[in-house]
Amino acid sequence: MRCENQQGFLLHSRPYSDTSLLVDLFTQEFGRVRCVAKGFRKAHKKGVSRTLFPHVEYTFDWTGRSELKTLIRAEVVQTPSFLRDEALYMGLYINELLYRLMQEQECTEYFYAAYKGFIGRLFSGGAMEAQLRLIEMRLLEELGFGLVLGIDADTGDRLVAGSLYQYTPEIGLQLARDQRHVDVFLGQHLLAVEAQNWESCDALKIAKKILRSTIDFYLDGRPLNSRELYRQYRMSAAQAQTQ
Amino acid sequence: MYGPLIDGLIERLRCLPGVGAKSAQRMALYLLERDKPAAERLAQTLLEAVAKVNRCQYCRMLTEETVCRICSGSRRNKQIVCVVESPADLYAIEQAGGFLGIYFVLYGHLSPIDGVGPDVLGIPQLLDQLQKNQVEELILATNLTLEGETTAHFIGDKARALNVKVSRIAYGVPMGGELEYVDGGTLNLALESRKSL
Repeated sequence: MRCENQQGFLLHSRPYSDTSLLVDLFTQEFGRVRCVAKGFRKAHKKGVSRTLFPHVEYTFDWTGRSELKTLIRAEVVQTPSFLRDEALYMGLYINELLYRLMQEQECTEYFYAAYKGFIGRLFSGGAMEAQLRLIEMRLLEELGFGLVLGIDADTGDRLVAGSLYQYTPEIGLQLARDQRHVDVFLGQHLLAVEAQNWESCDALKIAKKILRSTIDFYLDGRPLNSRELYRQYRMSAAQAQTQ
Repeated sequence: MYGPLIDGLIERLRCLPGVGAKSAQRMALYLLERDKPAAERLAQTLLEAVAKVNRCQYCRMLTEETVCRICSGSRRNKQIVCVVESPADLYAIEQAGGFLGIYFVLYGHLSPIDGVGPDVLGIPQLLDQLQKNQVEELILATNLTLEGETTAHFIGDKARALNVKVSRIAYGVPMGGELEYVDGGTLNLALESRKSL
């Protein structure tokens, strides 16, 4: 089966035999696709290799009946460039998250648009934390693990603004049994997260905590190395600032 | 097919990059059939090399001594360190002949998805050496791929925090290159990193 003119991004590539690459693509119509890109590491006539870059949109053609396809063509939609500073680490994080959580050939047209928008925002700069939380939420929704934030899982009623709740992945929010626990959240803040109202600082912090525990739950022990890399980057950035 | 020894030799030769079943068979048969003395020398040299070749304690390059010839060379400026991804990259720069500092070989690049982090690449060792040897300049000569850029970025941030001058090799139009044929990404980078004359 031959697929032509498929819009997509490269998630990850690794060398495969002498001159080829094994590439994981995230495409608009077919979700994750794994291909062999034969001869893509070979120097071109004019000395430029055909190596693909993540965070750049391509038009792909591939062929093959089995799970592993053969990539025939990859043409950039816009001129490739690299993300810098904090955006680079966020770009690595989102790609690793997709790589670890998304099954091959899951249909994801809705999420594709969100991912493309997120990458665009990484390139244009600005505050990204809320955007990162939103894309994490979208990804979980896409995979069928969407967060239910406005409702008490035990009673099915809306959250009460003044009550304290605890969150458990796959179950949701329940009235906090032990109110002194660290991960207990105020209903009012949870409702702000649901409404994506990030004005209060607490909403972002809570969203981060809840998303992290949910993502870790579905990763099921698989590592998320870009998170550690980002932590180390933040440390040296803070060190440089104090000097 | 040929007997356990010959089959074994063919199988072992396949561990080399780019050598499949057919080439391995050709190599094995050539060595056994036509040039047994060469096969003996090869076996001996291989054993010796495996026993004696280690990584240089400073730059991690392959060497027979504790410190490699580049790191112990008297004409080398030890205050300038060039970081490369692989020994092949080091050879390429040495053959070009324009660099007289010393190196640090990472043996890879940062790749979260493949589980390659700073420790695997010896980055803590590099930072330690930068401080101890009072290095003046760190040149980051990793590949121009996303992983190479990430690695350069990461090491650059850490080194700057230690007050070391950090530079990245320039990117752009190759020698003898015609602009018309250079791809858009390279051209953009070439314009971005232009220098005044």
